[in-house]
Amino acid sequence: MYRLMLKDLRLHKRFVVGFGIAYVIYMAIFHSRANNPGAVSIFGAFLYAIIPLLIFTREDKFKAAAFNLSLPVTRKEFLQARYVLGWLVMLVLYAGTSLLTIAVPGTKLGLSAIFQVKLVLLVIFFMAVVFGLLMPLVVAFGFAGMIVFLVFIQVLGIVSILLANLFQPAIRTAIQGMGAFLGSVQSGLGPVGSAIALLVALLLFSYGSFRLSLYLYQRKDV
Amino acid sequence: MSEAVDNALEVRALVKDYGDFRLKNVTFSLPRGYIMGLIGPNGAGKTTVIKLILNLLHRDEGNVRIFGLDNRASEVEVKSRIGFVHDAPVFYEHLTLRKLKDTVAPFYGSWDETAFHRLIEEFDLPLGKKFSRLSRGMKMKFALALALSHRADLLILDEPTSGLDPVFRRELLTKLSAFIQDEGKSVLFSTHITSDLERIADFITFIHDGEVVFSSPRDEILEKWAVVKGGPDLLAEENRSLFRGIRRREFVVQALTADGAEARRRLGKDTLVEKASLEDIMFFLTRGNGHA
Repeated sequence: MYRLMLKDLRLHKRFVVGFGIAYVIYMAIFHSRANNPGAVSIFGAFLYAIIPLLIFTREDKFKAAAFNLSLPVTRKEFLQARYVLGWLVMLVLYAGTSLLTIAVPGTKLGLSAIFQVKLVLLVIFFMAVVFGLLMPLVVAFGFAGMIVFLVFIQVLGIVSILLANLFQPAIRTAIQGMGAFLGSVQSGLGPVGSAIALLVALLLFSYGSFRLSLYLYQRKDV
Repeated sequence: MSEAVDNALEVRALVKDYGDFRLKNVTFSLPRGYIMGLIGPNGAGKTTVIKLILNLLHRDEGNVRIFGLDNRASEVEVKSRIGFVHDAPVFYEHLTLRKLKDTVAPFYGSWDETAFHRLIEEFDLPLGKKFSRLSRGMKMKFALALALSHRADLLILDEPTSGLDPVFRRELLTKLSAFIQDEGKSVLFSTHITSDLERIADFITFIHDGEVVFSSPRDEILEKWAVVKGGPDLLAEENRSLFRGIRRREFVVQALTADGAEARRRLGKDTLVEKASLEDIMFFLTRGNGHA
């Protein structure tokens, strides 16, 4: 797995370093000026998840899938390396952005504001969901799969706004019900228990995403 | 030693369905220490067969064994022993040859750095140059240098000579002949340039429209198959069963037979029976439908 990760990093070194640094600086400045660190963190998490996927879609650009799969590795090993590398890139971007945010002159956010447990969990939650949903699409359809997902998210947003206007009371009741359920789970498990439960749920979700990606990859023709 | 282990490659009842094209029960085997040519017109299914052997495509039915090992169950071991040259080189084009080598080499425990540099020198390849800036011939040479540098036991080459000048084609064929001098090394080589195979192949597998037409030793094929030339009476009903492909002009008929000796015996001295070349065989089997 290590060789495969190193291969991806070596092949896309300039892209990873150049794009990563630019992105971390941009997000840190954006973050440091924000009045609502939660909203910015969620937006950031979404983008942290996109960047490793952009690396993987570069395989399409160079039409290098046949080259990669001619090497003596299994498709399972290949995917394992990509999931691990994806998480490493996301966490490095998140840590880099957070630390730089504190260092930006005139920042509104201090260490304690950025590294609140709830906020960290929220970022991890969004990274896991976006990365976990997108990976099978990228595996099956490459760059096109990612674009379709992003368009789908946009359409979903528009539909949600329309539905919210049409069925406001029903949606409000549903959201309140969900909130009450999560609140009762949280109070039942306590803060530490809830955090552990969330991480376990995300781990299972990521594993499910990996299994689905593997199923698709093993049937993919290159 | 079992039959499975004596063969470098065994393909059994391989099926791949694309909807508009179907590979139908493709079966052949390549004994160790030999070169097999995989021939057929464009679109016959040669690349599909090669990609199925390498597990780049998902097969619908059948199985592939390499050195007695299933190509999917023992994928890593099998691929470690294969050197592969694609029809169109598929490397990351923005990298230099040195970086590409540094990327590939760690995956092979048997990588031979000395052999690689010897080949680079022999092929006169510039390691500092980007892959995208090489000519087609040089790209092919580089792919071959990589394939030969990890001491592969089986070389699989998909149309390596198409688009190459005759000088490099001859060099490549010499290289392949030298490769199998080391006992136990084998080569599977797809092409539609049949003259290359007449020079070096020990076995020929002919694929047409997704089906194996024959898979036999080259000498047997060139000995048995023949082109028969004569007048329109050649097409008499009693002769028809002899022919596998017919080409008819106004006063001349040419036909391909898989049994030259029988054709000579049955048709007598008035009919010309000549040994068929691989090109003749390919032409008649794909285009010889009885019309000029």
